[in-house]
Amino acid sequence: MNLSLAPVCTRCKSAESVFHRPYSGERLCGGCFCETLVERVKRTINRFEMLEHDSRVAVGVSGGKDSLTLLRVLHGIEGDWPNSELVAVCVDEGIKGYRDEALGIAERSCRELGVEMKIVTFRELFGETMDEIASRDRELGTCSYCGVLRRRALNEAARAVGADRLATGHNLDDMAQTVMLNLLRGDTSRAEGFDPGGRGLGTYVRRVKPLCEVPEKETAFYAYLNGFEFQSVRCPYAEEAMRSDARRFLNQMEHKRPGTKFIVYQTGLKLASREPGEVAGLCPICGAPTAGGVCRVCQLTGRAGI
Amino acid sequence: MWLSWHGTELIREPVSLVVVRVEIRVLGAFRSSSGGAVDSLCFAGKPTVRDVILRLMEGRPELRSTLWDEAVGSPMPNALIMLGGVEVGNLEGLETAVPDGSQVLVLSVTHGG
Repeated sequence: MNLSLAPVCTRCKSAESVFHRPYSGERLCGGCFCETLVERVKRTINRFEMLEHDSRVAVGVSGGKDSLTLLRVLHGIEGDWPNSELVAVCVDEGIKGYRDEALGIAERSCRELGVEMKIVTFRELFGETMDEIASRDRELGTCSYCGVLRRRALNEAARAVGADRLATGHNLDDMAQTVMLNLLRGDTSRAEGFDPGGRGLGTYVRRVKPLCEVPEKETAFYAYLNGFEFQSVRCPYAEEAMRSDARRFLNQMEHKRPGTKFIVYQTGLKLASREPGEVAGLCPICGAPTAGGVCRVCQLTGRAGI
Repeated sequence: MWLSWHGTELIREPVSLVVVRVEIRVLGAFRSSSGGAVDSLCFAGKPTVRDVILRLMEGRPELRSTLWDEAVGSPMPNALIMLGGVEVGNLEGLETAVPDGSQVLVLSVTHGG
């Protein structure tokens, strides 16, 4: 549809633009939008030296737009590195209605791209589903459990498929929210974990975040342009997270002052380079790397009595 | 038909009423709270994207609570809104006029659905 109001693409200067990046002033057509997003991901991978030419990369795929965008972009980039391999790893937390739909989308996307897929479940790893844990303990906030257990589950899945990298779909919004949350909690010890290039630690596969400089709105637009399926069900526990407050605040600030999320993200990188983080030891219960004492997974499973 | 006064005499003048039909597609997490994926709305006059979104939220408080940001008075922080495949931020934002027969697509950008 020619709306005649849409200006010409500022990059190719021929096609009609469909997307405006307020923080850079670019107005892009669909083709240039996708190309610049992929270029940005490539630059990010190089900047943080995220991958080796022969990396076996486990891609955390939830079935949401971010992880599907990551999978599609890495699948495209993989052609440049013929010795590298991609495997999709999925976690079924056991959230009825929400995760079933997402896993179906993930499965269809992997099949379409010809990418191997491995699913691990909370039940097999921790003995209970997220719904069962949530039915007993809502005081702490469901996301506190889910985030920690999910991270462990992704790592176990990455190890199971023999990956040396675990790529997750964290986008710019996620990164900026993390900076805000760490500041609000006064927790500078987590600054080290902010490094999008990650690092391998004991039994932990090195986690990398190639979409860390792509705004969430742009992963959504990329997903739309590429005809991805979208989840129609929102996580029933999503609003419980303190992260929702940080997201709301940052979205409002970005709306008023474009570029805010990039500035907060850059601040996080500066803090991470100044703050060495706490020295990791091993959890006396499960042996996983930890900032000290019993790891968070064992603390939470102990609290939930599982 | 339109009634107007001309002096003391009532004159009936034929006036054409402009009706704009807009198709709305809702994708992502807003879909469950909007009650469906596709809707068709009619407007008298020349609606803007803002008019379309406000009408879509009428009688759908659950959708309004996730789509509309009260603090900035806009759905833009929470959604990608496309008019005929063009993101409305690339046009005139919420004040973009919506032509008859066009499609407005509302997509949730929220993580976790």
